[in-house]
Amino acid sequence: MGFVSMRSISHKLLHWMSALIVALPSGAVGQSDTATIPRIGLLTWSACEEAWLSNSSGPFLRGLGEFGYKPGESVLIECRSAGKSYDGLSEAAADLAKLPLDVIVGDSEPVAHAVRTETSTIPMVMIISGDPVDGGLAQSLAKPGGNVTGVTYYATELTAKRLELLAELLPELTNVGVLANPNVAYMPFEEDAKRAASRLGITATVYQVREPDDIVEAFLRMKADGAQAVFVLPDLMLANQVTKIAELSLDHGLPSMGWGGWFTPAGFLMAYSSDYYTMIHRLAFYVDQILSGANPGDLPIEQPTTFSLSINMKTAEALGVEVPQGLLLLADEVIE
Amino acid sequence: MKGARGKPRRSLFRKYFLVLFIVVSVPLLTTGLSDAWFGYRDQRALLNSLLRSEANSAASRIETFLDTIKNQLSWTVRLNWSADTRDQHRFDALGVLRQVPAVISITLVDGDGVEQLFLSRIDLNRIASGIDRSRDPAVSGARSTQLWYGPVIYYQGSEPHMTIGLSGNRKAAGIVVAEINLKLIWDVISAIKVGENGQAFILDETNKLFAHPDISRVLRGTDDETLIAMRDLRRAIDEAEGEAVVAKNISNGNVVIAMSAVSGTGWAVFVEQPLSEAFAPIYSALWRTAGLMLAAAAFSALLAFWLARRMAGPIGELEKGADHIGAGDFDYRIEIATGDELELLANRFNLMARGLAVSQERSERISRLKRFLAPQVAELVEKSGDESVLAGQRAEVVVVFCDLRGFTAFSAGSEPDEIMQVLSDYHEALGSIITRYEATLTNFSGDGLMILVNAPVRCAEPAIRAVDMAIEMQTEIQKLVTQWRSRGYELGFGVGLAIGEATVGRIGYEGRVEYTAIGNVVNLASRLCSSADNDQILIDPVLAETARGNFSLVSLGRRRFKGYEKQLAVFSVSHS
Repeated sequence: MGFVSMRSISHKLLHWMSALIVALPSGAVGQSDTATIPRIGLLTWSACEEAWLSNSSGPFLRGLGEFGYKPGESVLIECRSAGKSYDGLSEAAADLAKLPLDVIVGDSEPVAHAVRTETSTIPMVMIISGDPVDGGLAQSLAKPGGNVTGVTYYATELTAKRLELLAELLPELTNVGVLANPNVAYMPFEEDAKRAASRLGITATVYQVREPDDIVEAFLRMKADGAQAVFVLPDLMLANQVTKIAELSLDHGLPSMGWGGWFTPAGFLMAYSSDYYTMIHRLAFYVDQILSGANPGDLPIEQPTTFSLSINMKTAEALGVEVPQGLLLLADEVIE
Repeated sequence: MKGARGKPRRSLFRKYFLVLFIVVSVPLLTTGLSDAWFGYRDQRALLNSLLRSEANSAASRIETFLDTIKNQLSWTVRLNWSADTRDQHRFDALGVLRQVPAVISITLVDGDGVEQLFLSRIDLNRIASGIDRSRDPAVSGARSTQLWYGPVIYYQGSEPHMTIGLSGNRKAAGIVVAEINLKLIWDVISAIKVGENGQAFILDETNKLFAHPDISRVLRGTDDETLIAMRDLRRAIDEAEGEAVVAKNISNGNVVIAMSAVSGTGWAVFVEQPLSEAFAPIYSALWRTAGLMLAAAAFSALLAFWLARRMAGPIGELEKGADHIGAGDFDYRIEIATGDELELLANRFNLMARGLAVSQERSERISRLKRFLAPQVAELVEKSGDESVLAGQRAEVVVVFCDLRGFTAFSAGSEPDEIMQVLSDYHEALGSIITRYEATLTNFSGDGLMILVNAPVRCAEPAIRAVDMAIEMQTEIQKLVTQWRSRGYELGFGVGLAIGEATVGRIGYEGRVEYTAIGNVVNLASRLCSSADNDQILIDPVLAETARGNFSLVSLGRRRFKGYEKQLAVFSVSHS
């Protein structure tokens, strides 16, 4: 035993020494870069140049610009993409956590969990879809207490709300097909949807899809089961497949309900959510606070103040759905 | 007389400097300080009114925020509740949600206090739930006051919310209850800017912070310490009767802060400006004043120095001049060209020095004359300013010689102090007589004296005057002779006088000038003196002829004198 522990100690020592030897000269050369310019790590689901979070004209970098940061000059941006897979997400998170970063930014709760697994020291600014306290990411909204802060948006409550809106749009609705990814089953979206459905007197059947290729089959099953509408639950993979899902919905004549502003332009009948664009923009505020020396554990997690309902009238027409006046009155965006 | 020269106890320069400095700088400093003080007061007043008006305007903006919500809500309580108006009520409520982002949920209660509609942005809606809401504080509050503001509630201890209740004009129109997200006040409060870094914030009725430009502060919740500080701040402003006060703000920074109440709620809007910024104009004014005062003090010091030196410098010159003149350097001239009284004084000094020079020269001359003239004669000659009387000339003079008999033997056999005492008594006695008769003592050597009468100053009846003088001399000296003899000194005194023409005048060289007479009459008088016995006054026939009427003379017959071929008749003057 003694021999083993001795060996492990000397192993560690060797590791540290080699790290020092490697670090010293590069540290001396790049000191002005690493010491004075803050480094921000971004973790995205899709390619870095596509994602809102990392896109140079996206809300986050625009927000940083409003605080006076210039990427590449006064701030260094390190972006890693999950390559549109949950395995890739873990790898990218591990990759990022190795870098000397001042803060890691992500736009969803799976990203937060992936990074949290890799580091508990680097400050994290995230959009947390579920309850941050229930999810173990924060002690309270007022004082997160850990290294995670950001924005949360009543995602689970909104699941029920969405179902209610769908029911309002389709007064005859009794059977809804729910698309869900079991990879995010740790969040209570499926139960929320089922509970809300039962309250509304609707039967909700969950169709689990892990990969984009599973979606077609899910639709076939859904249609066979007599679903009258498609209800998509929050998930990064599904969020990325909106166009495909919208097309399939139209093909099967199913009204579709999404959870982000980008669903309706892609062909979804309706979407209701807090405004992601605004929330991602808000992350820049947190990054600025942390780069200015604030402790993420002291930065309260904010909740959104604006929610938007969007309706695609073209889809409604194609499906032969008449949109009630009450919904149109409430809609912030109506795509004609 | 030690203080007469050297350093004075208190230098005039220092006195003048201090007085002038004080005279110049005190009014300047007083003006500067009063300016600074009034400037400070004005700025404080300005700041106070600025912050108060900002606070009032902030409060009215918050009231507007609430009024906007209230006005929108009032649409939902226009119509009486009935089956026909249900849809209209629903549309009205949806309209509110559409128009007012701050409204999270809206509840419509009918005239009986029964919930008819509940719409939410997050939660599931309820339609005609039939729940009795009549005991809800918002419902009962709105029923009694029409508009009711609930307390600020912190959702999950973080996000500030509030419930508003509003009743319609008729009971049948029911009541609307709306849940408001007060975080949207942020848009209002963060738009309020006072100066560069001034800001506004709002406290609820329990002194909790629910609106602040830094939203994190609100969401973090208000800790007990801050609650107490805010309660004290509110009290302090109340005690100051609404004036802006200097206090610690919520971030523990020093600020000037004013407060205004939001009507209808227990809220207070605070408008603050960092002390450093608010007082920056005051500080810069104070610095400016301080700089000016420093410059003024330096200027007054320079002025005082210059003036004091202008005053004290010439006085020093005068002192130096007085020293020189006092030391006898009468040629010294004080050079002062100030054009004022001091220059006049210096000129006076110079005149005085010149006068002193003249006077000294004169007194030197007098003392020179006094050596052979009687003092009063010397004065006379001096006063006439004409020394020509001393020039050589022929004049008829009476020459008087006198000396002691047996003095050579006495001086050989006596102690020097005895000899000097005898001579001193002798000269003193004769000196006063010669002076009194205004006779001229030409010289004396030991006991022998030669005296002239009627030269250089002429007098009336010189012969009689000379004989009178000789008699007095003989009388006085005889008293001494009696004393001397009583001491055993074998001394006597004889006098010889002759009258006649002689050459008189000054002889000698620089510093050693004497007046003398040269001529036969001198020799004759000398011979007569040598010939005289003790207590005898011998005179020549010419003098005898002149004085015969006034004195009793005794003819002693003819005597032969050395240097004279013929014998001369000699007369003795009787005196008793």
